[in-house]
Amino acid sequence: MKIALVRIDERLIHGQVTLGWSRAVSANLILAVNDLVARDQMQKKLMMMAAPVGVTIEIYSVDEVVEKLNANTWPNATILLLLRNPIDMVRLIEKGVQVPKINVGGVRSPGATIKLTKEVVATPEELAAWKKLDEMGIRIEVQWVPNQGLTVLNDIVRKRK
Amino acid sequence: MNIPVGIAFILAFFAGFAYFGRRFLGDLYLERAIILGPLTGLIMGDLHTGLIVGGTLELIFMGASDIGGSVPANLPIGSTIGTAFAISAGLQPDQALAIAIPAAIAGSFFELLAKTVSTIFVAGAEYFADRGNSGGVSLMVHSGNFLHFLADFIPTFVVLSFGGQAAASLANLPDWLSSGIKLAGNMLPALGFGILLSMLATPALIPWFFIGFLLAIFAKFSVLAAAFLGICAGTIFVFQKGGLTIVRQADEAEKEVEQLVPEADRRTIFWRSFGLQSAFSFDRMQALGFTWTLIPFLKKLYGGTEEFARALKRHLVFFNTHMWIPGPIFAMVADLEARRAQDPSRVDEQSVQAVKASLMGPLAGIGDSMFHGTLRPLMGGIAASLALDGNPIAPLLFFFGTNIVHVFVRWWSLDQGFRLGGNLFERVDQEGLRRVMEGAAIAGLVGLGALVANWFSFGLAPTLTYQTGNYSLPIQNMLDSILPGLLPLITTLLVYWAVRRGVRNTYIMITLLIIALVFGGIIKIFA
Repeated sequence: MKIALVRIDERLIHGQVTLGWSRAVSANLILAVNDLVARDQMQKKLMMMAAPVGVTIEIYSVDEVVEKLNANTWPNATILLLLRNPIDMVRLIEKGVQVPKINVGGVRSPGATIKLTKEVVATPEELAAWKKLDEMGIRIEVQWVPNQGLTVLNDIVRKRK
Repeated sequence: MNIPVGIAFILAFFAGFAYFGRRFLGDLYLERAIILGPLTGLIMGDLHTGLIVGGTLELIFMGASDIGGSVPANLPIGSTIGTAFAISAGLQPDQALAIAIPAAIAGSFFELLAKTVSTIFVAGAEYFADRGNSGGVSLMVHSGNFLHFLADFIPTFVVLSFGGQAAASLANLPDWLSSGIKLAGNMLPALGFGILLSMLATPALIPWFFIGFLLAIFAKFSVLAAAFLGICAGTIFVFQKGGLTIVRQADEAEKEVEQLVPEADRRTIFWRSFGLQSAFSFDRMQALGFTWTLIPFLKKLYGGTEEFARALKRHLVFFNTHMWIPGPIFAMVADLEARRAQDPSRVDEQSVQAVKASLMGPLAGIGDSMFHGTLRPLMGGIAASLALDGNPIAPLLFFFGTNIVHVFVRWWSLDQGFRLGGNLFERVDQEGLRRVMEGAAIAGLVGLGALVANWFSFGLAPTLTYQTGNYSLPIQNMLDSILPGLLPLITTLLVYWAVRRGVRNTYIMITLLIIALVFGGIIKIFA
């Protein structure tokens, strides 16, 4: 099992992930992780529908995915791990999943007002989570699509009160 | 020679209009080089140069696309300026690339600017929405689109009007530089091919790429012929695996979906949905276009009541999906709004938002793979290969080949959304959709293989020879007897490898450029 990319993206599955990143890291399994989506059969079905050729999409809650990763459920897969917001990411890491680096797409949950970059707007709780991820020593890179420019988020969140 | 101001104005207008088309006309791919190059040529009275420059640029930027709101190289600015100066200064088509490529890369700044500044139109639209003033919201939509038009019009106009002398100096380059640039023009399409290969190829499918390549090398297949063969192979695959069903018939008699949106309103929503990308901004993306599409229908439902303002406001939230297939979302949202108008207690605002939020990502994923990732590059590749032969049909073939599919899926997906409502996605045959995507990828890969073989030509310089006694043989001839087109194939695969390693496009382009200038210009190893 190889986790090739860990990404935070509000929209979870969309073109930047299916056409861009899943190809760029040669993933054959995308794990979309969100507690609400994992309970919604309709949304699960929709997301699985958008799987690019040669890639499977599976959807789990944070607890489920941690359990499955620890049980080495996918020994031969190259995995793209996809979360919706930094809060879930902190939970995932605190439950023991190793994350050396995080790639970030568009993250702007409803009601978020703290603008960090043009792609990332945070709520106060999310800002705290971003800070926590930074304190864990994880490099956080905002990059919409592979092969284009990126912004490092660590310095930006460190400066925010 | 300078370009007359009147001509410069017309050319810049078309560059701006092409980009405006992506915002307001449903993304008709007008801004692609394969359209604007020949159009510029036609206006300047030299269609042939327009076809060659447009075709080459199309190949180089074949993999460049604006997935999910990202900003690619600016083709309207690059192809208009490059083609126009090539003609006005009497440059060779490959010298035109020396203008077009930097212009396209620098030009992406203006799109970035327009998408950033458009935030003010979001603020404006919210102000008017609060007051239930839909005319004000529309005004913001059109102002935003006008700004996007100017973002490409102004730089193109300025450069065309004042850059004539600088461009003319390119005609008298030293020999090493002009032969280096010539090689660069032949090598740079490797970037487009490599990116595209990365999007389409999986280990199971990559043989199709080599089949296309071999057919073109040994059986002299044109790109068009190889693409047709690829479409046949893709079709066979689809039917072998179970057929072309995307939306299944109902398993049992389903309850008829009550149709609450009248036919006339559906037509209005269909036509307005072309404007989905209006006043596109980084923070809300398609929010304004989405609202604008629904304005007449919302007005009919809620006009004159307080709910009208609330309805406008609730649609001005972040939204982004594929520009060709927003149909199911519009259909389901219109239906929910109609139900809410009947009885607000039955449909709350959250359920309207939930439909939008849950559908936009997956539809964008499907659309980007099928249309931006497969259909457009396939048609672009076929058209570019015709254009490089000087065939003036090329831009028309590209325009109609892509947009017949566009208008059909736009209408069909909206219609299915209205007919089936929420049942649509219950009934979508996931396996069927996958088969179609896989079949399309096969067609794309065969076409791409032929494209690499046909339109990517460089080799070792004829001066490099194998000598033994009196016998001398150019090394390239030795390579050709193993596999003609070996070096272009290897270059494409190397670029593909670099793309998969996450190397930035700009770096790949600069590397290719340096190789071309050094090994084609200074030390003549390649030609």
